[in-house]
Amino acid sequence: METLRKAFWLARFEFNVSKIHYLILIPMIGIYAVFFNLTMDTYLEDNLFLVDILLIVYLYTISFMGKPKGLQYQKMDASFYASPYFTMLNQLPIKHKVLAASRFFSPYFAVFLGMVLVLISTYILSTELREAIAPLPFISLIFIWLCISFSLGGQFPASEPGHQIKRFTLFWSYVIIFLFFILLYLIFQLWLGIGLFNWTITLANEYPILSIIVSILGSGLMMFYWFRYSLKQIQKNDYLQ
Amino acid sequence: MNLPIRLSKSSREPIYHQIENQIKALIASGQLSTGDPLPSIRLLAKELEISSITIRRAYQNLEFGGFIQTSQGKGTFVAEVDADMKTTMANQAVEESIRKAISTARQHELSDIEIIHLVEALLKKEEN
Amino acid sequence: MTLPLTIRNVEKSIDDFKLKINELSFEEGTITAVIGTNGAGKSTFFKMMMNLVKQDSGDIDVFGKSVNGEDESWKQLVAYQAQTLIGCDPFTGEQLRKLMAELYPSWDEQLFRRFCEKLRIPLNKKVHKLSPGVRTKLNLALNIGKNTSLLILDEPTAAMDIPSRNDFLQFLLELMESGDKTILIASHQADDIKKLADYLVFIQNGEVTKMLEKDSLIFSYRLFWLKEEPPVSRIPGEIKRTYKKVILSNQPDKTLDYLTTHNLAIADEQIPTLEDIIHEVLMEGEMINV
Repeated sequence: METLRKAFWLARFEFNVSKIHYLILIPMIGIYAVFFNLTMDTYLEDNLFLVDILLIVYLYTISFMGKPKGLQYQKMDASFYASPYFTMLNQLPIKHKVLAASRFFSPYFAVFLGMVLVLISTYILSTELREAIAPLPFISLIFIWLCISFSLGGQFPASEPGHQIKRFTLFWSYVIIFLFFILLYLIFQLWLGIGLFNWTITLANEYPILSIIVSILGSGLMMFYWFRYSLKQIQKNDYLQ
Repeated sequence: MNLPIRLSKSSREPIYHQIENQIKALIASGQLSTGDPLPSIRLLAKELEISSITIRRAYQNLEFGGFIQTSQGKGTFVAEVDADMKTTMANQAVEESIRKAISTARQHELSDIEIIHLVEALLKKEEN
Repeated sequence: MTLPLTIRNVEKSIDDFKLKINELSFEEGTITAVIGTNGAGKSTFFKMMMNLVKQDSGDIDVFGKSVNGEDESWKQLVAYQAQTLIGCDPFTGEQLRKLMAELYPSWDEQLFRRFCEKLRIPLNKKVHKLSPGVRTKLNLALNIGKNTSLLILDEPTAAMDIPSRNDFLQFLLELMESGDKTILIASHQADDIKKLADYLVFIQNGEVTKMLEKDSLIFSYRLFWLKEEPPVSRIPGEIKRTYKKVILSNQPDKTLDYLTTHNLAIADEQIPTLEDIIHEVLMEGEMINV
């Protein structure tokens, strides 16, 4: 608890200089809400894969957008990528646990706002979505997507301590992203025959409470994994810059 | 406060010794009198561009000899030195200077008689 | 009493560069200058003390605590200034002050304010709008304000103008007056080293020397101007000869012995400057035997 309190105190420093950048989220939310509204009809009938892809792209984008350049993950020297702000904090008397935990607040805050607002806006705009799910299960749907966002988006704060980027590292990360979408397509479009978002609507409708519990447990595990990963990187990296 | 201390780069005398002797000379000549503050070790080290370890050693020796006193938190001050001691110190200082002059003369291969003549000539000049 | 910093048998390899430190202990109340050519490993050496770069083997203890250990409390006792201030661009000096004041229990607000006023450091401007020189000054102000027992400064005066450098030296001396602070400073400015350092540590070819007391080191060398050229090409203690008659010796007693027994007259003699000695050590690989 003390760790979280201190981590939050530290994260507030970034909020102060990131305020302006949260404004960029507003047009993003608007554009995506309009897009989801326009495509929801086709999606619910034909499982348009593009919607699932863009939903994932959206949640990744908002996880790192709400920050000025100096706080973002970037190239530090020929082969090392990290957040310069993180490396600065790492020189100060801040416990590694506090430091690692503090990285999660800002992206999670952006993801929370971005996800909740885009889903609610789409719900208000789209009659098809309103017909597909009632308000109460819709709350469960929001929970499911928040948990998915936290699970996936956790890799950004966990990356701040940095990585050694070797010649093929970037290439392999593109391959992994590509495979991720292929897998998504294989599991949902081909095997289950239903889009990912559509599938979560079904879950929220049929098992609203269970979905919430499973999502929270799943994302809790993922968050813990990212946190441990971040600590491991701090221990491992040499900050030569 | 600046002390008129000049360290000799050519002397074989250790630096702490040079400092000690020059502070003693300043006290003997009355340029420093009882109760006058001395610069802190760090400050003198910076001004003379030598390490604080050397200054500390010189100060410790001076304190041991009763020439200066250090009081916790206040700094270092010139102690009370009796007149006899001052005379002895003054003599020592003069002796030291003459010794240096002799060594220079020797380097220029002057004989004892020549040195004495030179001194006498200089003394005469002084009188006029 | 626990020493501010002790290092034992530390080794670190990065690509084909290797840094080795046998044994170093830093005493309270002293200033040690770390001297080496560019790329000699001074920054890596400092970063290992801060656990930012992890050594392959050996122990580094700050106030008795291993820097690699679970207990990270030692960090509150150390202010570390890297060569450049990174990751602070979007913040103002005032915001950074708030961060430091909260993180360091020893923070001295009044000292910080005085330093900023003296060096005219604007605290309401964002760091990325400051010139490199002012950025360094702000960095220094923050590190001096921390008022920690151990201060590690990596080339702090590199981008600074002369008046500010003098003010900065003055502030460092003021900090040292209390007698319980210890400073490690890497610098290429001979003047900084002359005015501040008690001990010198050289880093050369990846090897870190032992601590050398500055004045003893200087006194262990001597320049002799001879009246005539000596008949042999190398006399005892000689490490360098210029103008045929000027001998630099690292064993003045032996050299002097030789000169007297062989009736070679000395026109003048002097201790060399610190710059000369540093040059000999770093460029000529002169082995230090103090």
